Amino acid sequence: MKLKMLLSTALLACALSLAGTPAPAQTYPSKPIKIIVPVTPGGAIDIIARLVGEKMRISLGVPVVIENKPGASNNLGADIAAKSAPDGYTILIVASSHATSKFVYKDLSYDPVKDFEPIVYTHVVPLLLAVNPGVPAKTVPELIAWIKANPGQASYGSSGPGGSLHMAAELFMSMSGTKMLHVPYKGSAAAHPDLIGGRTKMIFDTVSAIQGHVKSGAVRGLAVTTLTRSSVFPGLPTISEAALPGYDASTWGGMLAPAGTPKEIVAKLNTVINAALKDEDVRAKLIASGIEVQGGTPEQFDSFIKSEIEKWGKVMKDAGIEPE
Amino acid sequence: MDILSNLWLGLSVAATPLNLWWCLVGCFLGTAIGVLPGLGPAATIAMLLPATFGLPPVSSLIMLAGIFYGAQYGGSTTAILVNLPGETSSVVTALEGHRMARRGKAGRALAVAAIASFFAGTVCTFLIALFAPPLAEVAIKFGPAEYFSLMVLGLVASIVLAHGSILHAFGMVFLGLLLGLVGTDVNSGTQRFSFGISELADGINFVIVAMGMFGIGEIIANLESGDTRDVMVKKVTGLWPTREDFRRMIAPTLRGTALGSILGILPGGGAALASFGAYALEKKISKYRHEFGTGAVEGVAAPESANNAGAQMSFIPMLTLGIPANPVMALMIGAMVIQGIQPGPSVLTDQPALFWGVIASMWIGNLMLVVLNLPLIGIWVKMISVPYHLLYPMILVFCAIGVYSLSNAAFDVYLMVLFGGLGYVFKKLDCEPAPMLLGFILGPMMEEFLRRALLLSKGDPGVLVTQPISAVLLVLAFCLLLLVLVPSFGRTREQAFEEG
Amino acid sequence: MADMPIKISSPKDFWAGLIYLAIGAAAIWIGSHYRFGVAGRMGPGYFPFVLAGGLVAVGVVSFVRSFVIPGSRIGTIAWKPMLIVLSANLLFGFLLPRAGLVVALVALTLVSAAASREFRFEWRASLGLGVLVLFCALVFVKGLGVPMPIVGSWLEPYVPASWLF
Repeated sequence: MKLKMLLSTALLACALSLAGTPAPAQTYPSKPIKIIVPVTPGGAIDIIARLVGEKMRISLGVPVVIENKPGASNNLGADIAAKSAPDGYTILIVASSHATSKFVYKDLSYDPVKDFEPIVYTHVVPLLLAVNPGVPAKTVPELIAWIKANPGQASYGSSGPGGSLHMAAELFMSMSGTKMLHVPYKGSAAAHPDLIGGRTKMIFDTVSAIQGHVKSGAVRGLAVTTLTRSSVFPGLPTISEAALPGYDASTWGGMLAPAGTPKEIVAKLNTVINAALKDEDVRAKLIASGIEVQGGTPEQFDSFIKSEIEKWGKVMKDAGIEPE
Repeated sequence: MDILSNLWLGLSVAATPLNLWWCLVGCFLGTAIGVLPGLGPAATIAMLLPATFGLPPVSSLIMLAGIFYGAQYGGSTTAILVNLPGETSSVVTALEGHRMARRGKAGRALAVAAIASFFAGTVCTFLIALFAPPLAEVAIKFGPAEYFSLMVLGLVASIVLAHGSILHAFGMVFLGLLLGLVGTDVNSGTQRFSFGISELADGINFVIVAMGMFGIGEIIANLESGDTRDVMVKKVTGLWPTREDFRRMIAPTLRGTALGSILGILPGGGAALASFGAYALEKKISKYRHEFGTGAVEGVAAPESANNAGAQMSFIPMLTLGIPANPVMALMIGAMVIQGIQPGPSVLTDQPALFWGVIASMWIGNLMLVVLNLPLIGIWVKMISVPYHLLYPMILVFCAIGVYSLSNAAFDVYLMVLFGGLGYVFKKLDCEPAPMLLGFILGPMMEEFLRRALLLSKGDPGVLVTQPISAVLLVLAFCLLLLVLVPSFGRTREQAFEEG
Repeated sequence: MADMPIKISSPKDFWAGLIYLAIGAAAIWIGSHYRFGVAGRMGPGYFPFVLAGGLVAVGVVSFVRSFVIPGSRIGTIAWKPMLIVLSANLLFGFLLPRAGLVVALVALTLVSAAASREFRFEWRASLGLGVLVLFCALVFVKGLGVPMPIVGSWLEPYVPASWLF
């Protein structure tokens, strides 16, 4: 062991002194691939990056490094990825904030569309509209009536301004013609004690985060925010079918490469990641925590991102939210 | 007895050879990582998370928990030996612990810290087993108004931390509070004091400030004389605490454990206050308070027990409510999700073996840590007797790597340099960094809770005094402030105690 | 009276007061760009203003006090060790992404060690340095997976690709 280390150090020294030739451009991939995760470890997209990254490592035969670059509501990691070499060795996983950040932050240092090459739409997490049990409403129409009757009491928690939880509530208010007090927190888990204690009245939170409290009865689930019902709560209606036709909000995620990455490399990554998402083990783990696996072509993901940016831009404008 | 059968179930899960092994691995890794300054448990758990995917859920949680409290132990070791607090809690341990080390009592300080922690860990294991569900209710009762008042109390306590001028303690607290506000405002999303630098958008990491102000500032000060031969090497007076030390640590350990247990239940930053609060309490009521600032045993035992109690109790909101009290807990929730377990109230009913197994493993882990750490004391003490001119470049290496690994950014290293320079200047001006660090931690929380309390009360500040818990906390804070500002009051009280 | 030279009786209070004042004033100035709000509904500028105001107040008291109440001298400032230690760390931050961990560590230790008067070349210390570098590379990069390049982009062309894994 020791001898081996000594030898390799000696070899390193030799290599440093001899100006060797650069490694020839072999077929992709020939060196480790880095996935930039713009959040702290443990969050939904971090978990997905790690699960998928492990499968990529096996199928591509090179190490896949997960690099957490949290900060600035995911913008720091995205900025670094946007400025990385477009050679397929640096890719980025984003969450739905990718479609809203340019409406929230005035001087965003990258362009969410122009600076990236979409690879694949990885997942969607439905949100659940949950209320404190003290709120008498049992259905969405009853809730809308209650909010209108008690404008001074209605308040909702969120994971922070501009996040998907906040956006879902804004869409809800604009479609139902209601007004509520927005109480932002640092992440949705921090909002739970006040919701359970009755200091805030409701929340639109990811199924994965809130399901424990719904099952225990600490909060009451009313509906899900996607157009299809959640596989975790098949008994709950969608907001669209219960009261507001066409209502659709969720938090989603997908992988991007820096703009200019060769088409063949994007295609190869798309194939590999799609295969990883179909893997039984990955699927089972994600579904158990309320994350619904997606997939598809780069083109589909591209048009999805563009439609999301358009949709939320309009919601923000209607809600009077200005970039700060 | 329900509790006995539950604990028995837990022990039978935790004491299987496989789980004992992972507990040991976790404790060992945690200690090793805690000892390396800068590399905290959160970073380590994040990096080791993928390695736990293959383990059964109970084993992986037991190992992660082991890393968590192992790192707390290890962190205290570095704080005592080389004055490098890698986490919030060990800032206070460094205050008295490092002074003890400088006076040749490093071994005694380390042993006191280990024993006080073990005691607190044992008590808290039983508290969690007995009262976890009802205690979780307390966490729900604490709203923004209560948290704000608690933070005010914590701030006043931080003034008590200072040994020198009260005026400069105030100055440093204000400075810390302001620095804590750097980054994105929770309520509006506005970037404050970030100068357009995206690395500052999420605020400054505590470790950067602590490594700079304590670590680098201290190293420069030690190099002042040019003759560094006798910086650390003092005649070591015994590795084991004396009978006198044992006697003196009993009451502070009990008080620290009690305080830490209460604060640890509160997920919104309670545990961060535990060690500061315990130190401030001892400094005000201990019989040996005149020794504070020169290396008092009480100043090590109280914060160490409070810190460990707080760390253990923070598992209550995590396991029963799914609410993370700190980044480590957030990671453990992530680990549970990957294992297909939803943290929250259902864990206790759906997965009793997991819940009680993890709790029982905490006590086993604490025992392992004492067994692991006490024999190591001799080695640690040897290590700081390495000539200082060889030791400090090594300390710098671990500081730099630790800070870099926080978010894999060279910018954080540059920031540490800035705080290092500032730390040295403030040291020369007799402005102590400890109150500043507490202000730094509390600043953003205080603002967040105050603004949320006012948001929910429709702008009525009366909510701070009409809520009973909040009112009591504010009255306590006011009394403590009087005690600090009116030294004569303190003196008469002292006399009254002696006469009575 | 007015043209009599004013004597600073406590240099520590004087300089600390100046630092508080400078930082507090800067914070008030920068913070004035943020929405202020009212006490009931604070904007992002409210809390920073209150805190910076407190800091300025402490600064003024400390500054004034420095002319009235005598205090101890500051003592010599170790400029040389300070500059050496700080620049060693700057160098580390600069070199790590570019030249890699090995070079950055060697630079950090050798430069910072020069701040001590006992610094001289010793073969045992050099061996220790080698062990330290190896330890860091193995524990942090290989063991814990901290994404630090062992060999940075500057030197990458000179090292066989298989080593970069």
